[in-house]
Formats: sequence, structure tokens, C-alpha cells
Amino acid sequence: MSDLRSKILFYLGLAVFMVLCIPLLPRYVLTLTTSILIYSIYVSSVNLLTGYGGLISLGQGMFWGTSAYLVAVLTTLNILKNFYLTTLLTLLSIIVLSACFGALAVRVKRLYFMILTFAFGHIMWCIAMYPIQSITHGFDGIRGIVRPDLGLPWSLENDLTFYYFVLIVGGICFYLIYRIIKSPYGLAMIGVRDNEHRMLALGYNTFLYKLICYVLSAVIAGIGGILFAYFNLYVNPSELHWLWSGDALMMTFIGGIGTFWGPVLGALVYTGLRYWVSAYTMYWFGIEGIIFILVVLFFRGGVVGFLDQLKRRLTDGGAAHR
Amino acid sequence: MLNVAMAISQLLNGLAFGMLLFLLAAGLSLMFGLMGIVNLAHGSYFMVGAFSGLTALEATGSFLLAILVGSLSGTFLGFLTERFFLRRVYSLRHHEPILLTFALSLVLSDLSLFLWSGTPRWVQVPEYLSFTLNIAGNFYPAYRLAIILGGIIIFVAIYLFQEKTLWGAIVRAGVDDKEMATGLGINIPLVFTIVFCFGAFLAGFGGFVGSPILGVFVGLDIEIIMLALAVVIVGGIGSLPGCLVTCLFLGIADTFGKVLWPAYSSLTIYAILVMVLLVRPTGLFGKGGTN
Repeated sequence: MSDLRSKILFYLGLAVFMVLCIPLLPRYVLTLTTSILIYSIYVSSVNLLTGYGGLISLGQGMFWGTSAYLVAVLTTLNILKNFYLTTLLTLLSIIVLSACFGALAVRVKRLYFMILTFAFGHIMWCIAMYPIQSITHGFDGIRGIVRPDLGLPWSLENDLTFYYFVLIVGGICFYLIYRIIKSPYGLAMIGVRDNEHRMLALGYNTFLYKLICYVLSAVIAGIGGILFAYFNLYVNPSELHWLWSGDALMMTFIGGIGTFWGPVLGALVYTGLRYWVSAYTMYWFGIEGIIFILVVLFFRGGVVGFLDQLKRRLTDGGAAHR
Repeated sequence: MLNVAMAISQLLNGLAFGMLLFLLAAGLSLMFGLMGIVNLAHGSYFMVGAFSGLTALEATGSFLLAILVGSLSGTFLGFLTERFFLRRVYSLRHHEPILLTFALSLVLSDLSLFLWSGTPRWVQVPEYLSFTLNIAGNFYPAYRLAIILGGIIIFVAIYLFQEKTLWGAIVRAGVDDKEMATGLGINIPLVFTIVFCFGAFLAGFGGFVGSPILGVFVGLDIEIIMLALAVVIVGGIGSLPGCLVTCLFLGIADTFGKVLWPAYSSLTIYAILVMVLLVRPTGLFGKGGTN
């Protein structure tokens, strides 16, 4: 009972903090928090795929970047003005794209899957870089995106309203991921991750499970990409680059893979550190690498695992009562 | 648009590039077969080998000494990677080893940026190889022919070593069945280290030898490792001749892609890769079941 109460208290406290306290802090904290929220949606999608689905992809940035590009193209070329239609069209394209790529990619295993997703992502990157340069402006990327008009009284031009918008969308995404993980589908997916042969023998269509996992995670990454395009107001090919997909894996592991809060903490640590370190040195990637190596060698559960250990050590005395 | 003479020289360019890929992919696929680990830091050995060879060349002026320094620095990094990082994560069967080597490659890349700066550099071909030969009507640099020849020699040497010597048999036993090999008294961890060092040696060697053609710059590591991985996937695991054939094939495809459709050239290899994986998921020469 007390477990439930502390859980409720935790979520309530978190909600109050996010809704009330963050806006009171300096303006740069607000912007930073907005970006952390957007990144954590993206990293959560990777966690869904890698942590729960057991599929390690070097092409997740493809969906993030493609949806950011679609939003950028649709809005800057005045093809679609309506925010809801743009979002719908973008997410539908992501579903089609991920279903096509996924159907090819989830047939093969581990390393092969990794390289195949890398190849797909690389193909999308090349497309943004060269053949349709008149639309995507190659290396320069697309500028001039404007914040969407939701048809509501509040304008998203304001950073604070935009923050609340991202908070709400992020909340919905996390709730969805939570429901997916806890659903019978999610449990079966974890089963496929742990022992595919057994699940096959039990009569599960593991191909379909993996494909659905791939598509779901692509859609969530796509939502992150849409928010990012509206947040950053500028997209360039690095959003599609596989290094960004690698970054997402790093964040997942730093936070704690296969845990619900891991991606959020990973994005928090990553973005916060990057913001802080970049003021002093240009060698961010090296530092990221060192952090990751330390995590793999010494803190294998990431931040979540570390906190769990800490909690267990602190409540060791109370363990006898339970 | 392509006349015969030009096609021949592009073919030779492709072969030379394929041989450089082979130096990388041979070690990569051997490590993968033996340890089940994909070493994403392998491209870093290639790049660091090129950089440190260049430094040695500038200091001493001797090309041969520079090759030695490049190869040894690759070997040294390979030794460090295996002994102090990978050895701790062999027991984790999933993603950690791959990502660990990815993180190492990030560190090595920034370290190279720090030590050698971001300006691309070129290595001068040594005097005694900087002449051209007349092949089918056009002049072709001897250095590239030397690379092709050297690649063939190295391939034959590795092949004979693997098939005809006791040490080769030990390595093959390790690939096929580690528990059995251990049971027969073979020191498998030592085999791992030696194979890893050997692969890294080839990578460092290839890095410096290839630098007059490819240049030396930060980012070379990523570029080359992705091609080498494509080779390992397309060719499949477990066959050295298959690996060589795939390298030459992809090297030629890449070179011709750069000439025929420059804008899409970086797609050539991945388009081939996607097609091969769809038709034969274990690769062209793969024995299957190793993944």
C-alpha cells in the first residue's frame, strides 16, 4: 500500500515540478528542458526497440529525421498549412516507411539487422543530401519553419506555451509506451527478445511482433522529430545521420536500457552534460565515449541501475520489515 | 563516356581499393567469426595507423619505417582494446560489446583530432614507387599496382597460415567450437588476443599503405569501417577467399559508382548490401548459422 502511495506522490511531485517550477527558472533552463523532453521521446523509442524488442538499430535517426524533414518541407513550401493534417500525413508516411523497411530488416538477426538499418538510414541521409537538393538544400538544411497554429487561443510562438505543448505530447507518448510495455503484446515482445525460438515454438508469429515493435518505435521517434522541427525551426541532414542513431543508443544505455525511466534520465544526463561540456571543449564525442565506456564497464544498469542500487543500500535496514 | 583505357584504369583503382578493404575486412571477419564481436573501432586502427605512420614519415623520411610504425600503433591499440575493454564484456551476449567498440572509436576519433588536427593530409608515395607504368595505352601509377600485388601476397600468406599451420588450425578450432578447443588444452583467451592484435596490425598497415590514395583525415575511420562491415555482411562469415572476392567486387563497384553516378556514389555499396541480404541473409559466401 505504501508503495502505491509513494508512487502517486512521486508522479504528483514530478508533475508539479514540471508544470510549475521549470517555468520559474531562468529562460535557458526552459529551452534546455524542452529539448531534453523532445530527446527523451526519441530515446524512449530506441529503448522500446532495443530494450524491450532486443533489436539494435543504427537507423532510428532515419525516422526522427524524415519526419522533421517532412514537416519542414510541408510547412516551408506552403503545401499544408494545417498542423493536424501535417502531423497526420507525416506520421502516416513514417508508418509506411517503417513498415516497408521493417519487413525487410527484422528478418535478419542482430549484427545483420544493425547494418541493414544503418544502410537504410544512410540511403535516407543521401537522399536528403543530394538528389532532391532543390527541396532539401543538401548540407545546409531547411530554415524558416514556423511554430504551428493549433487553432487554440494560445500561440506556440511563446516558448512557455511551446514547453507546455511539448510536455503534454511527451506525457501522452510516455503513457503510450507504458501501456505498450504492460500490454500482452509488450510482454510477448519481451519474450521474443529473451528467447525467440521458444516463442516461435509456442506459436507466436515473432516476425509480426518484431515488425510491430519496429513500426511503433518509428512512430514515436517520428513524433519526436515533428516536435524537434517545430522547436528548432531548422533541420539539417545530421538529424538523419547514423551518428545521431548511435547517440540515441548511448543515451539509452547511459540512462539504463530496458527500464521505463532510463531514456529520460539518459537524455537528461546527455543533454545537460553536452550543454555544460561544450562551453569548455570541442571534444564532446570523446567525452561521450568515455562516459559510455565507464557505464558499460562499471555501471551496467546505467543511471537507473545506479539509483536502484543506492536505494537498496539505503533501505537495507528496512528490508527486514517487509 | 567510359572508354576502354579509362575503364581499365578504374578497374585497377577498384582493385587497389578492394585490397585496402581486404586488409580491414580480413581481420574484422576473423574476429567476428572467433569472438562473435563486431569491432567498430577497427576503422580507428586504420586511421590512427595512417596518422602515426605519417608522423613517423615526417620525422625519419623512411617509408618502410613509417609502415612499421603505422602497423605497430594499430596493433598496440588492438591489444589495448582486447585486453582491457572487450575481455570484460565477452560474457554479455548482446549489445554492450558492439557499443563499447563504438564508444572507443568515438574516443579515438577525438583523440586523433586533438593530436593531428582536422586538416586532411596526404602522404607522398616513396620515390622508388612514384613512377607510372603503361597499361593498355594509359599511364598507371606503380604504387597502386604495388598495393594490388601486396594484397595478393598477404591473402596467400594468411590463407596458407590458416589452412596449413598448427596455429591456423588452432584458430579454426576456436571459430568452430570454443568449448571443445578449450577442453583440448588450447588457451582460448590467448588466441583471442593474438587474433585481435593481428587484425589490428593489418588495419594499421592498411591505413598507412592506403594513405597516399585515400588521404589521412579524421572521419576516415567511420567511412572505412562502414565499408568493411558491408563487406563482412555481403561476403558472409567464415571464408577468407569469399572475403577477398567480396572486397574486390565492392571496391570495383564503389570506384565505378564514383565515376558513373557521382552524386549517388555512397549509395552503391549499400544498395548492393540491401539486395544481397534480401536474397541471401547469410551473405554470398557465408556458411550460415554463425549469427
